[in-house]
Amino acid sequence: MEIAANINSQPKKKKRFDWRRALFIILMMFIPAVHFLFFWVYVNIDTLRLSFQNFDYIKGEYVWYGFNNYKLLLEEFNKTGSVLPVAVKNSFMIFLWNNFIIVPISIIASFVLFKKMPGSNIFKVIFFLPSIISAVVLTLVYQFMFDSTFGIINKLLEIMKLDKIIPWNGWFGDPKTAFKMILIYGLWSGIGYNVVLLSGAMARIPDELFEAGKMDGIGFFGELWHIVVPLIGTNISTLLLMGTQVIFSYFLQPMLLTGGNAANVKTYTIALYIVNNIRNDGNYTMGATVGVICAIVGTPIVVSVRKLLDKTLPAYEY
Amino acid sequence: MKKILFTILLSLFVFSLTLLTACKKDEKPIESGTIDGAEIKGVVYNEKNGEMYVDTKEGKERIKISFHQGGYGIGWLIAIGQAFLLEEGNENYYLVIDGDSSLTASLSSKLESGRNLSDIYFGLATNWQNWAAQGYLESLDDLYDSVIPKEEKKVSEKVDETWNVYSNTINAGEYHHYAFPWSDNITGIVYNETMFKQYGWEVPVTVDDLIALCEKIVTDTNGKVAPFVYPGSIGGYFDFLGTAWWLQISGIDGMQQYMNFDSYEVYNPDKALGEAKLQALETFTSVFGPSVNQKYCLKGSNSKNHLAAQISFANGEAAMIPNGNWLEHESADVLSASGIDIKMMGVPYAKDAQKDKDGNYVQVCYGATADFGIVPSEAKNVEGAKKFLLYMCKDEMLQTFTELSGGVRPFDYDVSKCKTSDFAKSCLALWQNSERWFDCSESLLYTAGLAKKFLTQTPYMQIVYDEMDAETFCYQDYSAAKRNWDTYLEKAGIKN
Repeated sequence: MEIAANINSQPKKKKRFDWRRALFIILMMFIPAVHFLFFWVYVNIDTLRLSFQNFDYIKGEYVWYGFNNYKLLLEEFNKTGSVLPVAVKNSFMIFLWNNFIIVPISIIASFVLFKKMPGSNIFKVIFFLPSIISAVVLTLVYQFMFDSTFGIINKLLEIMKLDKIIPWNGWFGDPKTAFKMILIYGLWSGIGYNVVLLSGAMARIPDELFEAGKMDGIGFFGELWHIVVPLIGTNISTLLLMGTQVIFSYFLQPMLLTGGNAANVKTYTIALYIVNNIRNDGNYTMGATVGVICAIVGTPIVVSVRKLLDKTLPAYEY
Repeated sequence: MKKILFTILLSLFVFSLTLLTACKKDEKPIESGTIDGAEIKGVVYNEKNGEMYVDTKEGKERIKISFHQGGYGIGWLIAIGQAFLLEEGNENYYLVIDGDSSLTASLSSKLESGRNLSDIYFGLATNWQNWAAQGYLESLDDLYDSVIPKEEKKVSEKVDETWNVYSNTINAGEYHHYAFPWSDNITGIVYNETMFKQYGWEVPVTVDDLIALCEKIVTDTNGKVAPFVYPGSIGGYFDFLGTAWWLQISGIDGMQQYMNFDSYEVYNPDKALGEAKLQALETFTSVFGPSVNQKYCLKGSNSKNHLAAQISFANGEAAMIPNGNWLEHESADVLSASGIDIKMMGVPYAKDAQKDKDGNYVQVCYGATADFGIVPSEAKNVEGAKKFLLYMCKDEMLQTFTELSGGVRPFDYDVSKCKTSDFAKSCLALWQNSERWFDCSESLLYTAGLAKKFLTQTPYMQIVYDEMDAETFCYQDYSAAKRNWDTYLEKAGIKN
C-alpha cells in the first residue's frame, strides 16, 4: 500500500515528443497523400471541368461549352449506325463473362490443382504461362493460331473434316464469331492469374477442416462448396470486383484482335470507343464527358456489387 | 514429382535467361561494324542507349532524336547521324538515337507531360495540328527559310509544295510551320513478280484489266492462288486503292478543293466533288465488293492483320496485296525465306480517271497520311534539333535515307542515283512519275478532327460486308454533314 502510494506520489515523467517517429510518419504519408491529391482529386476535378469545355482552335484555349458535350454524346449514341449501343452491350457481356464464367471455372480449376490431381503442378505452370507474356505478343499468337490459311487450329479442324465450321471471313473477321473469340481469349489468358491467386488462398486453409468434413462424409464438391468457397471468399470478392470494373476499362483485347474492323465485326467496347473515337482525334473534352458518364453509371454498380459481396462472402479468421 | 517440377522450372528459367541474354544489346559502344545497313566509321555508337559521338561526349551538347521504329528500320538515322557528327562545325554535338515501335501512340502523352522530352520526334499519322494549337510545338518558320548547307536552295524551295501548305497551322490565332517532312509513303498494289513471270500475267493498266487479271489468276491456278489478300482487321490498307481511284477521278486540285471543307456541299454526291468519291467507291466495289470478294480474295482476309496478310502473300497464297513501299523492310524475313521477287504497280486507272491533253491517263501516287517530324517547344536543344533537321535535307542525306530505308522524302532530289533493290526501284519509279498527294487540309474543321475525308465511318469494310453500298454511304455522309455542320463550326470556334 505504501509502495503504491509512493509510486503515485512520484511526478509523472513527461513523454518526450519523438521527432524521428513523427518525421517517419509524415514522410510515409506524404507520397500517398500527394498521389491521392494529384491522381484523384485533381484528375477528377479537371475531368469534370473539361466535360463542360471545348477547345477553341482560333483562340488556342479551352472555352466554356455548357452541356453541349453531353448533348453531342447523346446524339452520337442515338444516331444510325452508331457503335455505342453495341459497345455498351459488349462491355456488360464481358463483365458477365468474367464474373460468371471465368471466375467459377478458375475456382474449380484451382480446387482440382489444390487437391493434387496427377500433374497438377505442371498444369499450374501451363495455366499461368499466358499471364506472363505481353498482351501484344499473346494476341498475335492467338490470331496466328486461328488464321484461316496457316493457323494450326484450322489445320486441325480440316484434318477432322470440320472445316465447314470455319467462317469464310475468318474467326476474327466474321461478326458472328469475332466477339466470341475475344471472350475465349479472355478465358485462355485470364484463368492463370486467378488460379495462382486462388490456389495460394486454398493452401492456407487448415487441414483439420477438411478432415472434419471427411468425417461428416462430404464429397469433392461438398468440400469445395462448404469449406473452400467460404474460406477464400475475400479472394473471390477481389476477383469479382476486378471483373466488374472491366465494364469501363476493357479495350486492349478487342483493339489488338479486331483492330480497325471492330465496328464491322461488332466488337466495340466502351473503353475502345474512347480510345478510337476520342483519344486518337485529340478530342479530350468528349473523352472527359464519357468519363463523367461512366463514373455516374459505374459508381452505383461497383458499390452495389461490393455490398452484395460483403454480405454473401464475409471474411473469416482462421 | 516435386523434383521433376523443380527440374522443369529450372530448365525453363535457364532457357529464358539465355534467351534474354542473347536478346540484350551489347552495352559496349562500337567503333566499327554494320547496323541495319549503316556502316559505323569515325564515330562511337552504343546500341544499348543509342548514344553516338566522335571521341567523347563529355562537354558536348546532346541532340536526342526519337523516331517510330517500324518498316524503315534504324540504319538510315545511324548513317545520317554519323555524317552530321563528322561534318565540320558540328564538333560540339553528340546524339542519342531512340527507336520506339509505339512512339506514335505515346507521343501525345509525352508532349503533354513535358518531361524528359527528346529534341526531335519522328512519328506516323497523327493529328499533330492539335499539339501545335495547344502550344506544345516549336515554330519551324526559320528552318523552312534556311538555306541548306552547301546547297543553294532554301528548305521551302526544295520541299514538295504540299508540305509548305500542310506544315502551316494555327496557334493562338497565328499560322506558322510546326511540322517537318519525314518520309513520303508510296502506296499501291504489290505483286508477286515470280508468279507473274511463271504464268505470263501482265501488269494491268486499267481497272477492267485488273478484273480480267483476277479472273485469269483464278482460272490459271484452279483457284489455288487468290488474286488478292488484304489485312481486313486493319482496314486502312484499302484506302491506298480507294483514295488513289478518287484522286484519279477528281484530280489533285479537285481533291484539295474537297479537303478545304468550305461547306457541307463538298459531300454532296450529286455535285462534282462528292461524285468523284462515289465513283471511286463504286470502282472499289467492282474489285472487292460482295459479289466478287469470295472469288478474288483469299479466304479469311477479313480476319488478318497486316503481318498475317503479308505472310500469306509471301507464301504465295495470293498474287497481289494492297500495300506500301515499307513492305520489303517490314516483312524482310518472310520474303527472304519464301524467295519470291516482288514489285509495286501503280493503282490501275478507274473508268472515269482524268487524262492529260494528249489523252494519256494522269498517274497519281497516294501517300496516305504524312510521316512527320516535330520539335517540342519545351525541348532542351531546339537549335541543335533544327540544325540536324536542316542537315537531313542535303542531297546526300536524302539519298542515304532512300538507300537504307527503301523510302523517299518529299524533297526535290534524284532518286535514280540511289542503290536500292528492284522492289524499291519499282516504288521510286512510281513516285517519280506520278502526281503526288497525301491526306492534308488547311481547314480548321479538319484540324479539329470534325470534317474528314469520310465523315461517318470508313466505307471499305462496310462495302465488303455488304452492309452498305457506295451510294448509300455517300448520301449518309452528306446527310450527316448537312445535319452537323453548324455544330462543327461552333466546336472549331469558327462560328459562335
